[in-house]
Amino acid sequence: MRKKSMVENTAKIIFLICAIVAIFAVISITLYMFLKGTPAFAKVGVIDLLFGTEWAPTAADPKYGILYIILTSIIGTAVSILIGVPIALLTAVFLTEVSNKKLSAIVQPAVELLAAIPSVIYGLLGLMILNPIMYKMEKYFFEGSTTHQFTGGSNLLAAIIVLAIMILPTVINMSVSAIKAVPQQMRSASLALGATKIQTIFKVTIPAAKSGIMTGIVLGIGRALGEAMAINMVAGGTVSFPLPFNSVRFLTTQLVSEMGYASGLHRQVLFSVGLVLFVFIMIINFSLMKLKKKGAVEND
Amino acid sequence: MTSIKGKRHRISDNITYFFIYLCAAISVLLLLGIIVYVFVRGIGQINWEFLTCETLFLKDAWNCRKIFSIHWYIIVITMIIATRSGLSSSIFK
Repeated sequence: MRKKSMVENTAKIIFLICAIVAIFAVISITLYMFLKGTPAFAKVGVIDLLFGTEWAPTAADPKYGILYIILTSIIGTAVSILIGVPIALLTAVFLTEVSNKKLSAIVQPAVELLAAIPSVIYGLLGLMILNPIMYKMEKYFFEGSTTHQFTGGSNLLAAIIVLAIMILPTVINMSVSAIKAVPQQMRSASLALGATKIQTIFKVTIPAAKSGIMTGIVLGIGRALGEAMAINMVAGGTVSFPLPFNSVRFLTTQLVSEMGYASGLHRQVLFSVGLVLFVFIMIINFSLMKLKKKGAVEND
Repeated sequence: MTSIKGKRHRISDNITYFFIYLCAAISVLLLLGIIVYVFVRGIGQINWEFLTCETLFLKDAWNCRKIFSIHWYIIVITMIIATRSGLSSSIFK
């Protein structure tokens, strides 16, 4: 009897330690990012750092303005969401409402497979297929231009397309499960009132599955914002204003490409860039939690 | 006199159907394209010599047998640590 309770207690303590390890990891990462990221704000100045447009860390008179990098991340993510989400949503509608069961049974695992492809493969394909196309378009559009800096096809547009493809499976899978969870009676009632199938889908089913679809979109935003490898390969790497045919740098690729050799204040500024990214991701995650709570309340 | 059995076809519905089919086709073709492209470009390079590292320049010092095995070490050790602490903390919850 005594022995048994001892085993129970030991197991409980082990589980507790493991849970504490997980919480400790989150807290220590947050603390570390804030401790390492804030000194540069004090040294460079919050406004100079966040809203400065000039990035010249190794110049004699170094400039640490990351406005273009932040803008690139925001615009790149937003546009890729705008392209990716309608395609993903309509594909989810196709899988759940339009196609027959046999076809869905083939297509849906295939879409899930798309989520399992490593991001570096997307980058590789972008490098091999998209960038040459981009270069041709660039040569066509900017033929006589004297101000345009030619990039050889590594530009924001290529990064946006790669990101849009990468978020497809996330949004599709979440939307499919959200649409499948809508009760059949709602569709039947709508059809019985004389609505066509399309009207039922867009006026009844999708509004009912709204919170699940929103969750998928927020997850997609998180994935696009945090992606480093794939866009590092296709987006070029110059800090410049995020125009479609400019070679650009995202928050993530900024860290990837300069962390290797940075030192002193430059390194601290890179930690600040990391902190900005971290704060963005945290905002996304908190809104995700809110959405999930809201969805749980709506379902009750 | 219109019969209730006759269906009125809405043009807007047909357009929407078209877009739904188009988007589904885009998603699936992208996937197939990626898989086919990777296989077509890669499969010709993979043969026994590549996998057993016969053709690598630095055969002795840092060969790809080592790289492969390190890859597996990392995965296995990560799994041992992560599944343990992850599983136990979810039990605790």
